[in-house]
Amino acid sequence: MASIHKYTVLIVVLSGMLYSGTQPERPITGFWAMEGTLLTHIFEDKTDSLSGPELFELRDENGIPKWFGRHIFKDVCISGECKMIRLWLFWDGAGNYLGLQVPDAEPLTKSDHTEFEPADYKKLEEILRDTASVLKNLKQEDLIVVPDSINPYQAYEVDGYTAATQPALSEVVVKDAVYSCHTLWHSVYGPVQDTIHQILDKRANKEYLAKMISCSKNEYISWAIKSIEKHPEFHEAFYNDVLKHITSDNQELAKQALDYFKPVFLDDSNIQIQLVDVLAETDMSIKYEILWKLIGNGKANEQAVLNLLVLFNEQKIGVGAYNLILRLVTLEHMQENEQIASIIHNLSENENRYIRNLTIRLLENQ
Amino acid sequence: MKIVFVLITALVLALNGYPQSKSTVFLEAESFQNKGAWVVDQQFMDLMGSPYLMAHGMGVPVADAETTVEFPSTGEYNVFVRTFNWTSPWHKGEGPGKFQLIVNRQKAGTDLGAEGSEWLWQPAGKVNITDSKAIINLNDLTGFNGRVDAICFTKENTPPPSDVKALGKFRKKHLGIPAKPEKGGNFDLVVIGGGVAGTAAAISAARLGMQVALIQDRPVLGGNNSSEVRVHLGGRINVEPFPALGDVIKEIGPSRGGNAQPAEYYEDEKKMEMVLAEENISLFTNFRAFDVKMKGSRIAEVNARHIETSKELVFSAPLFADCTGDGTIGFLAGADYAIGREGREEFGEPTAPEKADKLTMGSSVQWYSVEENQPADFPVFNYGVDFNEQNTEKVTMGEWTWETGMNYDQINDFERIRDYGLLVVYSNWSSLKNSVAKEEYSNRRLEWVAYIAGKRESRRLLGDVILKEQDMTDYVVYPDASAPTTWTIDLHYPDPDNTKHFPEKEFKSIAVHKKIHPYPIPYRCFYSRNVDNLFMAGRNISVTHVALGTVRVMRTTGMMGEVVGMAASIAGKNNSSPREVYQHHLSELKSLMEKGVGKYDVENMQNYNEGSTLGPK
Ligand SMILES: Cc1cc2nc3c(=O)[nH]c(=O)nc-3n(C[C@H](O)[C@H](O)[C@H](O)COP(=O)(O)OP(=O)(O)OC[C@H]3O[C@@H](n4cnc5c(N)ncnc54)[C@H](O)[C@@H]3O)c2cc1C
Repeated sequence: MASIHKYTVLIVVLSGMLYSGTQPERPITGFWAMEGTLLTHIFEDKTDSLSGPELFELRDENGIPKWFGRHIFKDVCISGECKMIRLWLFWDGAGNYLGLQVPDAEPLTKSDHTEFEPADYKKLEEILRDTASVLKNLKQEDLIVVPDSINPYQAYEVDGYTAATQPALSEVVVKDAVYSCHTLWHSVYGPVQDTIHQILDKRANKEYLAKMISCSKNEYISWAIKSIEKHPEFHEAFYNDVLKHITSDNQELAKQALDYFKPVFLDDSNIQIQLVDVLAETDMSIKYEILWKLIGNGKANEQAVLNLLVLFNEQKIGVGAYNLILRLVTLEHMQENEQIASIIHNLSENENRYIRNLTIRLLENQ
Repeated sequence: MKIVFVLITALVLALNGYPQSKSTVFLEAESFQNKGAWVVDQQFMDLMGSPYLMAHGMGVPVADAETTVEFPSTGEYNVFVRTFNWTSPWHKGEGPGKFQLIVNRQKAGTDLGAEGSEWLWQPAGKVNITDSKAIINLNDLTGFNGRVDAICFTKENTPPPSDVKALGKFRKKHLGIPAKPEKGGNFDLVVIGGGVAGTAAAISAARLGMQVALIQDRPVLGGNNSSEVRVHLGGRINVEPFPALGDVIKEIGPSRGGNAQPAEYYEDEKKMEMVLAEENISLFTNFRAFDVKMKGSRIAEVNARHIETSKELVFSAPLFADCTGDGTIGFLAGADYAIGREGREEFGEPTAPEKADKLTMGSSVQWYSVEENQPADFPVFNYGVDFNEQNTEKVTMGEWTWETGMNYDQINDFERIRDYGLLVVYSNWSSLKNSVAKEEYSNRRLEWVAYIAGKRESRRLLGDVILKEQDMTDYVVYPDASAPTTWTIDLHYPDPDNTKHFPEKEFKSIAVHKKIHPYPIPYRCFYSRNVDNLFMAGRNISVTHVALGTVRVMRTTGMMGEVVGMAASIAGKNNSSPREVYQHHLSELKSLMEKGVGKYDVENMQNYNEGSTLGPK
């Protein structure tokens, strides 16, 4: 009962624009024109009561959400002067920001009372998509725009890293609409999103996760991986699916899938072997990350080591990674596995002096 | 006859090992047979005269160092130990670096290492030697960087000299170091300093057929990028106008980024084996160059001393490359150099201060901690710099921003600068562990604190061109355009927040950046303008303080090394000087830069920490 977000669910089948509720008015295009089953979650948002208690969800035929949507009706105040903004905000089935729709008759306006231009909407979209926006840690009262005369790049920065930490605000907001941007960003990443996450978390069962992890949307797969991480009881059932995504073309997803495999998981030699199996098909940086993971675990499985050496021999792994592979090879491996011993022996006579020396050094140090 | 006589003398001295006098046994700590967990620190040997052993236990006493010594005669000896209290600049009382000297399993004299404000011979009582051999132990009591340069057993009543020069002579005499050092060899090129710049220079020249000596004063290669300092590579390689430059960095560079990470991140073995794979390189690790012999305005020889055995070697070559970071070889050879910041009128640089001063960027003692499953204690450490609720840094690691000594001399005050780095890390950690964040930090243990300090700036040797800020901001491309610098003009200053709490004793910095287009550095910045056969690569090239802001990152210094190796091969072939390579063989150099000296088909893992840029011009 401590939570301020409580919700109940109403289900209505939506087909085209047949459904039209009482409050609030829905656009007839865009998100609302999509087909699916409509659910209404009723939740209480004490910070924003004007926007109404309904959180809508549109599902596809498999029960996977196409979107969550909420009507927003809020006041934006600048120095005591307030105006209302009205629009719809949408999130995807993983809780990520998806888009917005503004009623034709009520376009967004700026502080000089002019209407938003298409470029302004585009900029606003960009801002709302940015989960790490500088707006995140700013309060209304911090919204002071630095004049153009100050060089925004002359920000203090980290010698190793390149991201500016405090660029001038004017760079990152729609000009003359700082407060609207701020209000909307916090509407996207506020209680509604928390509620969506809670709704989704409750669905994390085997059947639902199976659908999410094998769907075509990277964001949903990513959500599924996170959920499996939170629920170790599903590890056994799904780690093979997670493994497959290490070869994804989407770098971020591939990295996330690989990161799923914490060092302790690699105590399972099956996982080590499978990681090596996918290695050949991965992007170069993932390839190296897999090697680092095996190094991090500290005890490489014999078969995994053998497979790596074979891949190296077949030139599917470059010379630059050879020293890392050798970090995995132990005396035990060489004593107990003839194939490993033989490959290592051959490499110690390799014509490439670098490879040869590294291998000889390994043999000397054992 | 003369030659024969010299040879015989050398032979006798060599056979004797320690040809100590009848009444004195002089023992270098760094030459202990078993060093236990004491570390060899050679960083300040040009200042205080010798490498030394240090008990770098991060608050946990380190395992004993032990050695067996032969005594020329039995009897009673006075014992003196060269040490001092390293916290004395900040704290008046007894210091934390306490240790004991144990002779034949018995403690000699009092606890040592906790007094004295400079290196001195601390008396350690008398010992009675009854046998020709004695076992000597150094027993650390605190884990807080007690240090021992040497131990002297003498039947005389006076300790060895304190004056560094006189002590140097005394050492040589008592250690039986030949007056004329042994030959290290005759090479085509001698590279001094095995950081990224020196390593790349040696590889590049060797691949182009030169016989190269690479002299490095540590057991590992990589300098700041080694596991001893743990700075990751920065900047971009393989960019226009010479996209083949950087191929060596691609081969030797670690595959993973990050400052102050576990040792294995820095892939020391890769750099080492890449060098050892070059048949034309003779690698001399653990040798520190300390002297040069000139012939007119040319260097004829460089002398280097082994940091454990004191063995000296002399290297000769027609060409030398100073990649020491400190411009040490240039300095010894009388090369023109600059240190500190130029005044604005000197080069008209917008970023330069109005008046010249001695401010440099500082040095870093990086560190990190780990979370344990059980509580980990840390002794109370409070030696003159007070840490409290307001000023304690509530962090679990310290990387580049932990930077000290900007107002001090990065050469002559370097031991003090490094020591202040250690002092603040321990003091801050003690404050976290024992008072301000006891609970939160209860299971945290200090896992690694560097004792080899990372340096950013000291001497800059002057070449025929001195690169300045406007060259880059106005994009003034010289005919000898070569290795491109891509990092921002990144200059460090004391962190104003830190100044508030620790005025004049800052240990944290901020960086101010100015982005540039990738800019090819003129080749003429890579050789000395007045020492005729001296190249340089690394942070000691010919640039202003402001320009150092961009060129100092290691992918860039590595590419300088590649270019220096190429130029050296041209100079060698044509029997010409580095300057003549510019004057008469520039097109040859350009074609080598176009071709590059890469050897292996390696994947490019050098895409971390590339830095921001304005993009290609
Ligand atoms: C904390 C910190 C963070 C930094 N951040 C970055 C970063 O993110 N990326 C980046 O690329 N750069 C960074 N830098 C800068 C860079 O590391 C330095 O500019 C570095 O000095 C450049 O390397 P170098 O090639 O000149 O060789 P160095 O790394 O300075 O190596 C010189 C070598 O010569 C040896 N030597 C010195 N004197 C002698 C002698 N007399 N005889 C024999 N050997 C000798 C030294 O032991 C050393 O190994 C940072 C520096 C620090 C300290």
